[in-house]
Amino acid sequence: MKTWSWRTEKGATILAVEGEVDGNTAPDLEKALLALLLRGSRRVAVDLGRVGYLSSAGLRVLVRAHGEALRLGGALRLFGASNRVRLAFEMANLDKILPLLASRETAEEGW
Amino acid sequence: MRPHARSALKIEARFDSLSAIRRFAHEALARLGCREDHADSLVHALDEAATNAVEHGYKGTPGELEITVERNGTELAVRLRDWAPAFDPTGHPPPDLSLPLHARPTGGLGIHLMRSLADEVRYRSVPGGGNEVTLVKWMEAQEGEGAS
Repeated sequence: MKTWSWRTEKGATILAVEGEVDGNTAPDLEKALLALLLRGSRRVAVDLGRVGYLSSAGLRVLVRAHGEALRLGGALRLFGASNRVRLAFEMANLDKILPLLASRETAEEGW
Repeated sequence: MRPHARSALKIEARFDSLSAIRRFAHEALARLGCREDHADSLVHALDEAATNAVEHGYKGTPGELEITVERNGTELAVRLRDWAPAFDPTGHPPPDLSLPLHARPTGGLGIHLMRSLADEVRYRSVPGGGNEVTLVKWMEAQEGEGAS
């Protein structure tokens, strides 16, 4: 798994994730997300479009980072999830709390 | 069609074995004629079971996992064997998914996904030590015919 991030013109920070997020790689995703929040990014949109697999370890990291962003007065948004990733969110009933947005454009609107 | 076919893998119980475990199970299920979406579900359920065994079973101590993929007629079974202290995931209470996010315990999510993804989850405490979790999917009668 690898991640990279950049700031958009609309003031959001996009974190793109590529690969498989499992019990082995989820700690790296957590570090990347927390590093962005610590550096002051408050509107973080995670691009899941290149994530082929996401286990409960990855779900927990996203939930924790979402909680941390809220605590800091920001928010975490997710977009681009594949059907497989979407299914894991739905089974965990997390899609109601951490909605999976269709596109980056939607994720950047109305923070 | 080979109604009784079996593949097995023995591997170190570590988080960095997970991707090899998933790849092995995916290939074995494909050889048995398993539908792609069913294989994805079984492999995900297996990954959650293996993660639990590494994290809560062995708790970071060295150990092994043995994965067996087997087809008996229309039953596809993925079995995870470990030699860690007894832990029955089928006896674990389901998480309360209606609770607000901050009030939810983080544990139990993997077990919940494992149960949701497989048609059946069986647990056996192995005499002499260890655990065996079997994740099952039932195939349609005509599914996988012609698979070698």
